[in-house]
Amino acid sequence: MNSGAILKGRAMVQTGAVTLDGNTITAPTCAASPSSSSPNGPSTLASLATAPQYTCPTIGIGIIAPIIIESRRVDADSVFVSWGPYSGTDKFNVRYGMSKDKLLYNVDVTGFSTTINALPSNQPIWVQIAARNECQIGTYEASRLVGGPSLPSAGFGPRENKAPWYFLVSIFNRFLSRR
Amino acid sequence: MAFPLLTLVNFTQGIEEKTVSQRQDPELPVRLLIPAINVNARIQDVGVALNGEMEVPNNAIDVGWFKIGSRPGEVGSAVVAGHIDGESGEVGVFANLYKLKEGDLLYIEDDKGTSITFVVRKKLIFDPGYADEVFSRNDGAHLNLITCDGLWDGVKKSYSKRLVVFSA
Repeated sequence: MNSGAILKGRAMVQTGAVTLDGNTITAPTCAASPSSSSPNGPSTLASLATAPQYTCPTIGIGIIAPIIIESRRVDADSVFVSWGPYSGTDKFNVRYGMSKDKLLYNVDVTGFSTTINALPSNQPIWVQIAARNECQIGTYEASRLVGGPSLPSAGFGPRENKAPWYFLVSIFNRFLSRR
Repeated sequence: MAFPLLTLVNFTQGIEEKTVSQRQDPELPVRLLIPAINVNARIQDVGVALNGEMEVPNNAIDVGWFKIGSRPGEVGSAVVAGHIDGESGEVGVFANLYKLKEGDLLYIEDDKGTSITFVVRKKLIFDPGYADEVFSRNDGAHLNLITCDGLWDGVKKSYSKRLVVFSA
């Protein structure tokens, strides 16, 4: 500001600084705000300053917890899951874990199937799914084991008949003992 | 179903007077009976082996229930495995599993003395490997029995097929 300048109001700087040398700065009083009682009148300053109220929408009426339709292990550390039926949304939350009661991980999915990767190798995986929107998750269906282990090998096979070998070894031993 | 511990407190004295455990452990299967093939076997709990296969019981006369899956009688697939033969060449508990036919009855006894009845629905032969149909049904209470089938592969030290009896 130039020396001796008179300013009514405030001085702000974009770059640099406001330097004052014999300046006169006055703060005019504000005019009375218009009444907010008028239904068609402008809003009060106080109401304008209030943050907008955001209401989280509920999960839509009629949207049900999806049921797992197909599941299969893709490889040692990934499983494929698909679900349905369509009941008004294609946004879901898939919750999973290695125990029926401890589903510690979840992922949001748009669509009706997903492959969950990077799982602990060869561990059974429990999964449950719920519909969701941008800020809420609906009710989950009961969790389901989707990544079962390989079928077990439950047999030792027929015993090898080693009698001929025992017979030959015994003859050889007798031969050695005579010498 | 687990209930929280119920603690009785004598508030007049301000000290804990008595603690009563109301915990009810879930029923665990302890015995499998299959009258049609004269099976009356103790049930061991088994999990997953390092190679990703379901574990098997440590002898030829017991059967192994896959404890990570559903319990018999719960919604889901309860899975029980048994040997077809033993390490010393003895007959395994499920050596005659192939003789079961649709309609045969299976019974699981739990540790509370309750018996749950299942009816054989079908038998299927699988290749070794993953079989989600065996572990992942969710449309009722299923009991699936597994043993080996097919030919012995001396190199792989395993039978070539798996026999699964589905019951519900």
